[in-house]
Amino acid sequence: MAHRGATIWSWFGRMLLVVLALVPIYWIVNVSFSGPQALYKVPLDYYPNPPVLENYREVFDVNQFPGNVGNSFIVATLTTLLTLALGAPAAYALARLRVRGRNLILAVFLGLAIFPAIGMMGPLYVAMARLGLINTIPALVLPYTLFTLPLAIWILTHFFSTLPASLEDAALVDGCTPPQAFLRIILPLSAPGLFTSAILIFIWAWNEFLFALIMTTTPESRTVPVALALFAGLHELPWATIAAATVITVVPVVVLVVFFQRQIVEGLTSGVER
Amino acid sequence: MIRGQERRLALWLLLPSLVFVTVLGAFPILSQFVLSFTDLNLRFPADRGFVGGANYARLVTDAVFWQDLGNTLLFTVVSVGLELLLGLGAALLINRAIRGRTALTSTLMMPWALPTVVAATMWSLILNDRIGLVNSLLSRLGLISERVLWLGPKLAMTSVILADVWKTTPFVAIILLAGLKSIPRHYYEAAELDGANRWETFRAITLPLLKPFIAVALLFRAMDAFRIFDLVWVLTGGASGTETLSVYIYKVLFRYSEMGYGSTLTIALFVIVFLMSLGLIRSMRVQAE
Repeated sequence: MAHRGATIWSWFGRMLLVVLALVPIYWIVNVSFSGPQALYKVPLDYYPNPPVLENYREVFDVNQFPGNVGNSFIVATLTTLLTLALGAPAAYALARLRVRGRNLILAVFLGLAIFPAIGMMGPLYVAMARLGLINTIPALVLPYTLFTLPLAIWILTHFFSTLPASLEDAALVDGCTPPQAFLRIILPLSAPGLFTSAILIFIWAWNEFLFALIMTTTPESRTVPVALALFAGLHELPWATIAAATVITVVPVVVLVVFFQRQIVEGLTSGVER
Repeated sequence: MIRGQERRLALWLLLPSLVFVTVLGAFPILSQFVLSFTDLNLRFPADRGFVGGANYARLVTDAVFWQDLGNTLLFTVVSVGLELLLGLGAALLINRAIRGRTALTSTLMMPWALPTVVAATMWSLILNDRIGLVNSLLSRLGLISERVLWLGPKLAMTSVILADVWKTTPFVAIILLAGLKSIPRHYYEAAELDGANRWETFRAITLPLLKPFIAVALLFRAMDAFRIFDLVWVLTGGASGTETLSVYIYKVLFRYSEMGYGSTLTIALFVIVFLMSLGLIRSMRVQAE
């Protein structure tokens, strides 16, 4: 009997988890579909009463928001591609080849991961300004890649080291050169690992705020998180519109989480067992 | 493979990312070191000069620095502590679910996957004293008779910590869930045969085998919590005793334009986080042996 009691309690616990995770998100969705004055009703309605779409119309009509969404997509995609193009070969070398100064290289990436991003903003801003890149896509993609590279190398090094050691030898016996072995045998086999890192990098870049705030000064060049944060400055806290913009921002992330949950978990937990 | 050939291939594979990191990363980091010994203020750029260790001396006597270090420590210890505890609870609950684990994990991952700015904006609406959901619910339940100022002087730090716990407990839970899955089933079967109760099983099997996972979660979380910026910035702007070191650095650099002293603070934060990570890694190694 004690066992059944425990089962009920843990079922209750799981429901509580779901409620705690989702209620704040539900609330934003609710506000986004309610009229602008709904929040000032006493007592509050806990569901859209009546549901309206005007907040979404407002987001798309009045603001640069669609353009901002586009910027975010481009920045996140390019960051992902550049990080993988740089990180995958490096991780392969670190995982499977004899590398001189291996520990030093690992230390460099670790140091980069630990250095406070806030301190790099000033110098990177100056660098991007000198290159005339402020308000352009590269002004975000280049710094972002700097921050996602350690993460990608961490995940991919782990992934490459889990592949069987004999793979390259077999390829070499079959007449491949070492670069061919990497390109034709290892890379295709590591598609799952690459994909996992890609999702995490994309989410990171999609969500980044600090650099996006500093590196962009015009409404057209902003990414979604910055546009969202600056909504508040435009009008007098238009919560309903902010809520609609928030929901739009969150949709891609939610889609990624729902469809690629397993890959994300793999990425987050890779290398922990070692 | 011939050794020289392998080394050469490795070099070519590593070169692009090393060049990238050196060009883009080394310059900002080194310039922070150099600037931290100058009194560069962007409002008076012509007056800059080399001031030796003056900025570091100022840091030692800077009451705001010590206050914010205290705030940052408080935030880190309390929020990471709660996240580990709740994350462990959530991982155990999900691990025991017979059906719907995937759906549960996806649901739990939502808060983690949201942009921090979005989460912070959301919480500042929910905690708003006049139109927020929390006060509305509490007063409808009859638990409060007047508005609670969640972001006011008394409760601001608590609210920031709660918002952080909401957002990052899932991360801890996911790491620990992977740990729980890695524990072989027959350990538990053996414990059951020996007549161990739940608590004994947890103490003797689950907790020791989970230690490396707890350690990694702790390390990642502590590093991030110590550098927290966005959440505090959006929720309180650093007011009401919630100013953390990153927020202070942001103000010094970009509001007061003091590049010299701001760089000194950055280096200080870097050294603190570095030593903290080193300390955590060391103590994990000792534990593991």
